[in-house]
Amino acid sequence: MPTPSLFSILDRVLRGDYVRQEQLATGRIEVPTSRLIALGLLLGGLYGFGVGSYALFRGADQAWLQALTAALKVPLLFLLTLLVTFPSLYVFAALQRLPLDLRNLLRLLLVAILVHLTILASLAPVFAFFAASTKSYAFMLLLNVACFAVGGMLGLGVLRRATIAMFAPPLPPTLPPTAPSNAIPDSPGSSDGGEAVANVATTARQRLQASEQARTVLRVWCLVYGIVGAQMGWLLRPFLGAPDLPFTLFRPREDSVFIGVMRAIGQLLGR
Amino acid sequence: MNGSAVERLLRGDVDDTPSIRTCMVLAAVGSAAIGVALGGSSGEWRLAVFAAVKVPLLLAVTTLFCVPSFWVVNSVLGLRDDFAAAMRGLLAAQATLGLMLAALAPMVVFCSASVRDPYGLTLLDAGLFGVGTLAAQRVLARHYQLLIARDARHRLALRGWLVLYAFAGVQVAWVLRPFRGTEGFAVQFVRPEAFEQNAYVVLAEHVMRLFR
Repeated sequence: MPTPSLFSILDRVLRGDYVRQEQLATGRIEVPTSRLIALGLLLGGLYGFGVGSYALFRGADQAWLQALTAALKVPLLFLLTLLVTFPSLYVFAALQRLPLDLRNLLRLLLVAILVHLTILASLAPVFAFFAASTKSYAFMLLLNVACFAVGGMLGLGVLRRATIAMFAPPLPPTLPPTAPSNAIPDSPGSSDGGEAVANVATTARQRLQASEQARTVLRVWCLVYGIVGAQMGWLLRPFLGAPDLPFTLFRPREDSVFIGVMRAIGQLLGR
Repeated sequence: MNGSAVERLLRGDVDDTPSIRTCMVLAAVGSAAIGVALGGSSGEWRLAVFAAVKVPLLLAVTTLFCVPSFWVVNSVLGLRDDFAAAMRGLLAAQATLGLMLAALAPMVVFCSASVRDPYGLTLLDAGLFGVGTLAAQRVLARHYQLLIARDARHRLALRGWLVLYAFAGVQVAWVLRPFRGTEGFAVQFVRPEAFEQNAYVVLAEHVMRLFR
């Protein structure tokens, strides 16, 4: 089977083809990991360049270098965040008996990240337009945070849908299409039918319980992923390149992303 | 269930639990991995090596301290026949703890890069070990579900184990510190005053200081 093109893979990612129930039920997500990573690098680079364009428009120190490093740092940010958070997610997912093994769980996360990155890349022209027409560094910093937050929510929504699909009842119904009338549990002479219904009910209850637990694990993980991602972004800064500071690959470690964002809000409000 | 030992341990039923030797290797290697991450955060390679030895030691020594009491409690409760199965469950839980700690090693590196405050880091490390324990509990519950179904007194024995393990584990960790190393302190395997302080007394002193 020929390898699908990058564009057709991206199209399928956005349409949610890889997280449909029939796909997940096989326990395999049929998409080459290398292609997902290549797409991630491209889209992340695109958004990164859009963010770095602020340095170009504002005439910051070594602006082209700043724009290029931002284009490299956005994919790096996602890769490092995945590296920090994926191993523990895998252990918890396996403990929850999620039907995906290590490789396919990684693919699922890459699909979700790709949705995030595609949204970011689609916002790159908007960001560049604001960069060209805005002087305030604090505003651009907060705009960057907002873009990441919007993309992240939609990306993580893919994971949520995938978890629901993974624990949904199997597609071919386990019950006969037309249940005979004597299959009512307490009707006389229906012990077999009653048992079958009881078994199906027990399986459904177990599935629901497993689904709830898996969703809780995923919710917690999403929260951790968000915090780690935000702080990782802070560690990898500068992305925008402040016009009044000299170019540097990384800034010294200080404070945290949350203090940084609060400070930017304060500056924007003139405090 | 087929698959690697890791997959069988995490996903499998009680019968799928890897061999005793494999469980011990998983627990030792996994906890050594987080040890390297903890000790390596100081930038001092000797501390990385020390911590890679000390974290597995922490699990092993705590277990060794608790096993005799666990055996006695099981005997008193009339559960001696199930002791081997119970120990197997505890070993599987240790292996899961090791695996989870290894999975959290990148998180330790990330925390070290993000947080400067040593108290904050200690709290985060404690939290990560708590997460590891949570994962271990999951596997332990699978083993004990069968035992408790056989005899409800297993629940009591398990609770006793957990309380003693946590209680002793905190002091063993205190004696074996530093795991990260503190700026200004010499690089040592354990602190000179290791056996002179008690973790709970120090904790109580800290709490009392808050109210003064």
